[in-house]
Amino acid sequence: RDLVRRRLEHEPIQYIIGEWDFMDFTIKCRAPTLCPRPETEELVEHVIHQIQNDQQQHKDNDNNPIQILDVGCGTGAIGIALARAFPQAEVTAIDIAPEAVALSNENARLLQLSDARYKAQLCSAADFTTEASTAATSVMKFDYVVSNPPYIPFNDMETLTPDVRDHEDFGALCGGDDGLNVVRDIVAMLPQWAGESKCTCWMEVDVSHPIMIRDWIGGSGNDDVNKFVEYRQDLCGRDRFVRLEVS
Amino acid sequence: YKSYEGPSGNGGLTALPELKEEDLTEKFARGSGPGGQKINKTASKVILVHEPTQLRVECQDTRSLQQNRKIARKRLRLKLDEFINGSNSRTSVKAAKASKKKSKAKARNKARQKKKKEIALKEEGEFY
Repeated sequence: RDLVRRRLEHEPIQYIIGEWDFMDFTIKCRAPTLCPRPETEELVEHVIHQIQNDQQQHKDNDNNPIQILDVGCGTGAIGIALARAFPQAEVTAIDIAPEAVALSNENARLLQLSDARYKAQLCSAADFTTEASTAATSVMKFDYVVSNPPYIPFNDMETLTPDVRDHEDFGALCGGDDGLNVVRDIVAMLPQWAGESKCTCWMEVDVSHPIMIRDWIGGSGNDDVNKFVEYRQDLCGRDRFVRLEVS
Repeated sequence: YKSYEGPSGNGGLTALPELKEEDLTEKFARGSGPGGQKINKTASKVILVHEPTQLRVECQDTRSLQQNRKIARKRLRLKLDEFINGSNSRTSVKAAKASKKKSKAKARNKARQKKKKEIALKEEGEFY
């Protein structure tokens, strides 16, 4: 009966059950950390195909571990999915919410991922410099940066359904007035995170963003280092994913 | 479509026909809302249609949309195999094997029961 009451109060089913499936595994979900959406599974699929393509093209090259950064890790779903898909990958994950960092690490250990393969730490995108990194290798040289940052524009927050609005973390949803605050931080840090070699950045964003980001980064003189490669729609036909590159 | 007659080097299994993504239409129960972070509906049902044949599968086996898409494609391939290859399709061959196995087991059982009866009757006879 208590479970029914909670559901009647619009508590997300993932919080009530305490877990949900993401791709081919199950992760613990806990309020107020954002529950992964199907769009985020799509994001992961895009990154996996990207990495597989890149591996095909550089077959004979180094056997060095693939370095992946998950910005705003939440439950850990994205980084964990990539660590599972690529046994040779090392995933670093950051989030500003202590609950999210704890939950991400908890989920990783439950899924047999060691500290060396997956480690979440408390840090914002803007503050994630070499000094701040506590990862085992203190690596600041990522091959891939993935993010599902808070991206809802402030004015849209009041249109949210009660299950989202009343139970999930505001900070994990709202990206400021235009929704691009965290995206801007990521783009600003990308050259530093890339280090010497090529770095690809995939992000899930609001439907209003891909065109805005393309015009902002792609525009001449605006950003010489970052390159806007493409944007894609999700399975419901909305502009949803962007791919950037630092060479 | 690629289809093969008779056994291949696959342990007697014929290869399933390939599905071309451009022949497929997918529908999801995600609704017409804004989607993305704004919505937390856990609907994971996939409806997959193969346009050239109008073959259709639905899948809601798991709580993951991506997993259901994969399962739906596997099922659709099997359906396409049945459609194209009829009695040579993998599912038909499997069903035929299973029914053959069943009738063999039934026959063995019958023979065993018969023998038991004969032994029992013989023993009975030995007491008199």
